[in-house]
Amino acid sequence: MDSLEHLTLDEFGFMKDRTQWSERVATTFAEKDGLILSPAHWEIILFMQSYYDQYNHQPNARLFGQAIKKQLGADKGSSIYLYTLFPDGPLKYANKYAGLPIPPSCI
Amino acid sequence: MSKHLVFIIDKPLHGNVKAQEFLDSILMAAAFDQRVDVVLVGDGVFAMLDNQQPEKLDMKNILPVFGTLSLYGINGVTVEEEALRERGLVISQLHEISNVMPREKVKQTMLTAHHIFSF
Repeated sequence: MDSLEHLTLDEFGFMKDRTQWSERVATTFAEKDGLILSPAHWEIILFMQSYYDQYNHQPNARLFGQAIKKQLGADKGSSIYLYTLFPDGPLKYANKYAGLPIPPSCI
Repeated sequence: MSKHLVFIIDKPLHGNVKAQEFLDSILMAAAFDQRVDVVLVGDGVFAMLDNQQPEKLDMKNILPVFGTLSLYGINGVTVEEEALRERGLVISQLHEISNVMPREKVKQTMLTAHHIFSF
């Protein structure tokens, strides 16, 4: 397992400096949480990054599901699907692995 | 039951966190599948001016956030025609997602709303 010691993190363990992000960082974060990232996880993580870059906005859980439904298909925006991927909270952990700030609704 | 909600803003959105609060309420209404119209009147039209640089004031640029409205089923932002004219603004100076509507039609929109929220 790689070390995350070189990263600048906030008090919640989220990255403060996204330029330090890499796929390797995401994988290591997930491993520490006991999660192996599959292509299905990556789809959601990359979606979060492109949404954030395009709109300068972080959705809350409800909006997050709606946005995914609209862009990736109805089945992928369902709570059941998202919680199956990220059992401890899809919004929080998709943002964390994406190197984005903690969503305001997760504090 | 779905209701028709109209959000009116008549103040400039920059310089404080009002804009963020405003957008949060609009997005939540839309996320709960309500029919939502967003109308900018008076000084509110300044919110849609393109090429703003709020980062220089250490404020978040909220113009891109308006782009999320279509994701949640809202067809852009309506700007009052007279408000633009009174401020010497033209449509080409506004962000692309704006629709322009004369004051009389804005009134009609407000009359048919179940609820009006003013910011």
